[in-house]
Amino acid sequence: MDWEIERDTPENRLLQTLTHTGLGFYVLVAALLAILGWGVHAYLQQLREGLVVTGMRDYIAWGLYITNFVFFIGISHAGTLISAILRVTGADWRRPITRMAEAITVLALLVGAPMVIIDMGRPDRIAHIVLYGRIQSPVLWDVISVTTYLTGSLLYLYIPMIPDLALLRDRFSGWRGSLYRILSLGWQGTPGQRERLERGIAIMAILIIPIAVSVHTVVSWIFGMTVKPGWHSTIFGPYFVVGAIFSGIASILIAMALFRRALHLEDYITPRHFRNLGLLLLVLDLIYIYFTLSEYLTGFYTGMEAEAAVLASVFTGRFAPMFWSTVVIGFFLPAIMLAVPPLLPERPVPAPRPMRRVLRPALATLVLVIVAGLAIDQPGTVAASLDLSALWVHPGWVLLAAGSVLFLLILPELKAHPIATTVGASILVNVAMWVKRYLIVIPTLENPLAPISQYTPTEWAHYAPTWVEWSITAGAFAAFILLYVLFAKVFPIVSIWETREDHEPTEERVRHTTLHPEVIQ
Amino acid sequence: MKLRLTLLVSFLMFLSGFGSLAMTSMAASPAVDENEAAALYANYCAGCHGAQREGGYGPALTDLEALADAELFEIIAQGKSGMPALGEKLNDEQIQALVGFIKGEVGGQLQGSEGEKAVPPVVSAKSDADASVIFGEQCTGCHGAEGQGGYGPALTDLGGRTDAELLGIIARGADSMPGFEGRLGEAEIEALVSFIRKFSAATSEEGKTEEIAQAVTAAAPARLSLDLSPGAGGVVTARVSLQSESGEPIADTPLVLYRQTVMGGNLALAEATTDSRGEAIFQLAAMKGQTLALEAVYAGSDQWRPASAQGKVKLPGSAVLPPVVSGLTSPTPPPAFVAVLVVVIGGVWATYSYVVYQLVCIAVQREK
Repeated sequence: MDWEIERDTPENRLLQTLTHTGLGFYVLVAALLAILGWGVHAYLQQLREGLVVTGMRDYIAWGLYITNFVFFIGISHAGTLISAILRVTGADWRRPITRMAEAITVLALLVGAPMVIIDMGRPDRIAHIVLYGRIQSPVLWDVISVTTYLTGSLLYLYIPMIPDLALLRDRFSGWRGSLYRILSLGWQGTPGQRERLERGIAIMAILIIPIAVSVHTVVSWIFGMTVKPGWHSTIFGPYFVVGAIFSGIASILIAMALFRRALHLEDYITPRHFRNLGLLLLVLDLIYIYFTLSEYLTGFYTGMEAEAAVLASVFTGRFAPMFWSTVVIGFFLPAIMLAVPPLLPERPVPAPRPMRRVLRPALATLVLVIVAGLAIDQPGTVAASLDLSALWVHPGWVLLAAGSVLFLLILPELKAHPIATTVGASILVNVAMWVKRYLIVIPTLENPLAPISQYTPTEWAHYAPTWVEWSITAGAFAAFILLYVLFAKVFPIVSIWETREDHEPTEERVRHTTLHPEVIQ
Repeated sequence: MKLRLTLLVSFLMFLSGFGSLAMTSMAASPAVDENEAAALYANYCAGCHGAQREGGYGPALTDLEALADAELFEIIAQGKSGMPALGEKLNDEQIQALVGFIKGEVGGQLQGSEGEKAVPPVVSAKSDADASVIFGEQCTGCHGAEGQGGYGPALTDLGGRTDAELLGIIARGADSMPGFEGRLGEAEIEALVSFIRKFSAATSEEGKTEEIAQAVTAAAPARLSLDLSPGAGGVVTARVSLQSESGEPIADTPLVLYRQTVMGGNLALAEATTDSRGEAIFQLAAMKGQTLALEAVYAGSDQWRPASAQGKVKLPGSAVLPPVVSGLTSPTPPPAFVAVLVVVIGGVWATYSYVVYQLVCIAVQREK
């Protein structure tokens, strides 16, 4: 490093995060590498022995892998929305979080797209997609649209980064210096260069929006263009796009909170960002609830035989616990968490008397443990040893009631910590959106239009993921986080030139900037 | 601080309680629905109790009001007098579904056309593998999995009956054994006859094999050969024979058949024990046009050294259908469709190129 931090400005603190590496970073990277290695081990096993090591069989050809694929393509919409839509509409508050969001887009695609190849039984035949693919098939459309989207989002991540790379080029030597020198394309901030840059950014910002929308629409068409109950629906395109933006916003909120805490970016990422994005998340949450209702209500109301079987397994059958938990915890609870606390009157939290301080939560916890024990109706639990019909109501309702009471108890805390609340809601949303994709993929495959042959063993017609699939899934998430962490180590995670007061791409050579008058003298 | 922590912990526990509830949806062994219950009845019960529960070899199941569900569950799981126990073949959910089905609580009364659904369709192939499947479904309930007998007589000694006699018994029934004419085609019954003959062959030659085994010296080299023949209907027959150096068959020895996967893995497909001729026969389902690389492995014993044999077989492909000439599924898509696709995707990539050109301009414009 050939320069020293002379002044304690936010910008210098940001640049410091590139080189000052704590123990936590190494521990995190080591842990992620370990998980990733375990995932690779699992995949090698699958490669050697074939898909028989997964829970997928004749009827269930898509499992966790396609769930992950849809999920990762979904969160890749973070960059598009935050960066492109907010850039085009001139929302200036988005500047500090633009790059974070764009990086999510590229990295999520890099992790998500290979999930399809992992789902293949014969990945050695990957070239057949091109050699024998039919251009009429939505599967091939998906290959094309994801490739196009990946290329576009790479460009869109890269172009606004050029002025920052030039700034870094002038401050670093060694491998960083060489890397930044190559990538900065000889940027000097001349008027001609600035014009070209602005033009490139403007074109990409506009172009990437329809591409992003089309990508998730095409992903939905892979489902919707089949005549399978539960999939064959015109709402699937917009439903998937809304779901993607929804989980994308949740992802960027989580990333913002983590970077803010880990890299001390409080100067850049302010409560205002969490409030604005939290409101967007709330709106998308409500739209997604509306779409979910529309999708299921149409099938439920017409009640055609095959459709009814899928819905029965989701509403009351095998997937009911998963579905209702997702709806309550993943969709309604975040909406309440985001909407209710801001509506509460500003009032200091009254200090509870000592007895109440201990008693109330302790009681709540006790009730909850008992109720949760009752609710999990599996052999070996409390529920199995009791006659649940004596409860009169479904244990789910009791759980819901207990949860509501608990929520009311912690409501003042939510009011007092708006950022934590927003991030908490985002985590719930992301988990729920992963599960929702699972609920889109699996129940339909388990209830095909043509009846399952009675000679098919029961376990072939019902999907239960194996350790191989869970390991690869864990590996995929580890890979995503690892790539993101490393990206933040090599490139500034907050756009420097866009967050400067004048918002101009570095006009003069960085050595001559007003930031370092001491250096010049 | 303490309050916050306790509240947070309680709330997280609440979420995890809900979460583990959700996870039960991912567990295996799901509840059994009514169609499945009907199929289970057809497979395991109809042979003796009749397709309409009217009774046959076993008693009619039409008047079971007095019997408690738990008792019925017990009888199905544990068996009763001559009825075989199904507890090992079926899981609790399946037995519970059968209880509901038999009592008419699930899937309504088995009357008229409703009941017809429960009868398995006629199977239309007559290879050995199919015969063993049919035997497993239709016969083992009374005659035992190895033909050792149970409710019905043992099949290890067929009393010198001719094939024609056996055909007649299976088709029309005998004593209290139900006839299978309506349920199985002629070809299947023929396949069954030759299948059940194996039981008697295996028993009668058992004595000889023991003598042979005793005559062999310890840890002698063993020879394993693998003979693969593609059969009709996508079935590959793998005939493995294990012999001593001098060509004597090695009987009653476990063999494992592996499939060598494309990526160099070894997938254990099945295990079998050699018969008196030192042979074990595997029937493998395969796709038309598929190439199977197989390896038979004998693990070795005190008497015999380990041995293995490899083989490869390619199944004949099926005739290619004439291509569809028009519409969205034809190999040559409609030109208008392709034109739209090219314009849209080409337009996007052309725009990318323009943006990349801007970057090139930036690089070129630098001051020297």
